[in-house]
Amino acid sequence: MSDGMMKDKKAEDGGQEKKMGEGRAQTEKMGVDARRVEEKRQVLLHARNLVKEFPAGGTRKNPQVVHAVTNVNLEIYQGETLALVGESGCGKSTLGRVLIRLLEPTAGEIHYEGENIVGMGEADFARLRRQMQIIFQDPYASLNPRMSVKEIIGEPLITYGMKDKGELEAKVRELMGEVGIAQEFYNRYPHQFSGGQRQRIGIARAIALNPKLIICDEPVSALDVSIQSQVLNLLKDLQERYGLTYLFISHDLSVVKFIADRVCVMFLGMICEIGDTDSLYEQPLHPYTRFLLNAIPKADPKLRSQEKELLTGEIPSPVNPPSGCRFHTRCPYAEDICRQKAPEGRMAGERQVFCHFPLG
Amino acid sequence: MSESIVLEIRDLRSHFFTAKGQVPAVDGVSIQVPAGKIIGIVGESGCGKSMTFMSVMGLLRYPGKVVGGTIFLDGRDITHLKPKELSKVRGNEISMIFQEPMTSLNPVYPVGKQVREAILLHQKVSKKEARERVLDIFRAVGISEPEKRYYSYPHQLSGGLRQRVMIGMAMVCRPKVMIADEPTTALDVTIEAQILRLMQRLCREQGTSIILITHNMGVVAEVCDYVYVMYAGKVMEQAETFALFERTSHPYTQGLLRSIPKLDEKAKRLYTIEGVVPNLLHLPKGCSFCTRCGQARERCFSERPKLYETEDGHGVRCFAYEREGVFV
Repeated sequence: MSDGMMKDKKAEDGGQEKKMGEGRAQTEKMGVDARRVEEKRQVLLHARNLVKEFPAGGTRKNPQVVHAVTNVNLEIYQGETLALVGESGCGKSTLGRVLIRLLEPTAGEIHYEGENIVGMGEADFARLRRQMQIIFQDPYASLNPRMSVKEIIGEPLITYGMKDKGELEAKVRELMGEVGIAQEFYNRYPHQFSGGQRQRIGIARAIALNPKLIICDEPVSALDVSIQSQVLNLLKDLQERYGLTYLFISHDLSVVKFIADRVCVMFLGMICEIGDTDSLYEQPLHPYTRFLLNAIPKADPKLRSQEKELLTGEIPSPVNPPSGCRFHTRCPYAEDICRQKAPEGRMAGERQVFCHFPLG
Repeated sequence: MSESIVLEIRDLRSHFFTAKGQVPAVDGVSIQVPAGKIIGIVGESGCGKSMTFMSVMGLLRYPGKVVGGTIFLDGRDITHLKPKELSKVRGNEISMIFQEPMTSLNPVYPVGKQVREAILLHQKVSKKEARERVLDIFRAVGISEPEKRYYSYPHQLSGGLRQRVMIGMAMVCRPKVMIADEPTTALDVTIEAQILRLMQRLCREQGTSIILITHNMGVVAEVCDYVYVMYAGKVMEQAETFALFERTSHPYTQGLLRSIPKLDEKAKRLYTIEGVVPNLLHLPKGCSFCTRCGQARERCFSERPKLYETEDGHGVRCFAYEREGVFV
């Protein structure tokens, strides 16, 4: 345990150093307000040895569990966009939900602005809950078809005590303007909107209470390319305007490259690699990251001739995850130690990688 | 294109007859598929890319109807075949796979038997022989332990394996054309790459032409030989893949390519095509893209552009290329 703490401390320091470096570069490059850069170094939320398991049948003597998230340590810095990437079933959505306690963790701690929110009483937590919001993947399923736009966007405001009708309408209309929904749609219902507009309504609902942290769970996966870019730009604008912190969950690495400051790659409930977006894309240290990047179809036929190394095999079952490093069954570089011992996180500059034999 | 054409669609029109009016989902689409090539059909949802090939397969159901055009398979007109004749062609000479393999497989039969059914339906072989053929095709599409998988039910297989079974089923009668409607959209990137490579190999080894319907420009760039870009029921641009990406001509195609986030550059903002896809019931009078096009002129709002040929085999539906002459 103490050993784990040491490691985490190191991770935090490394991360902060890097943030400073990046902050400087950004200030020079784009003239970003120095105060924002200052804020950026602060840890908003950090998770310690987080575990989430779901029961999966079996017998009473021998119950089976899905190991959705296993021993995750993670920091999210104020004002950044941290992307969580991985293939389906790797636990990225579960982790996102556990972090804001939409799902209760099986074990571990989550510190939000220094307070441990795991096991915190409902009354205490209500005060923090309004600072954490979520945007879902499917804008068709995440809006109540029987509620009009004004009710959907107004609901969180009413829940958190806005009583005056005039004030409420003004606030809802302001939010509609923020996300680019025309004022005349105030009384319309979700089915009267296209997918992109519905996602904008979901975003308006999420920012209604001036949250600090927004979990974006595949917010553009269900949208067409031309609409996807509109929504991504909107998310970036809102972040700049309100200093929002995003945890951006996605399987699309091109989208992540555009929006994220840092990336966390997951495989089967465990973190493979965390690091600064540009350097991680340029030089992946975990074999899985490299295979993921290699597998993306690039929109340029000239790149096609380069013979690609592809991953073989399928994702193992999270009910019986492989021993040791969970990636070893698909990893071409696996050796005996990978089968026996789960790799500890090691730092390489600002990067943290969980691999016995990192690349590069 | 001088190669032999296996499938030719000429001026196909499929409309939906709804309570609100007639919806021109497919509005004069012409597509040529040469033997042994991979043809990409790209476009956003509702552009008619799937409906074109549902029409080809005779799978359009009420209120949809083919109202015009002809479809030739190997020189033979299959547009007006009777259902019985059509079912001899379907699955045998031309086959189709869909996006979600779970919903296209029957959950209560083992997958091997479902593939065997395709053989027994079209060819006079014994059940034992058919089973051998199934095992062969399972090996060919990269299913490990085919004997064991033969008796597996769909729910016991992963998404990637199910899609391999579907491809096996589509390929088992060695069709001339296989239509793949978003075959990798529901799959993870590492599995997607495997399936794309498999389709390329089958195309090369068995000489089957593949029509790849997709919304992903990356997939097109990766495997297709020739590309059609569709928008609001029409082909907006068509070209060989390299020409399309190097000399992108139609404003819509240009916008589409520019709005994809690139891996090799860090943009501050993404390019966007303003507005949304028009309602097919109320299409603009002129070019269907005019309401979202940055380069639209007065004429674009009143007249419909034809497909103009900018270079050999490269057609663009935009007045900017009118002097080049009409595409044939």
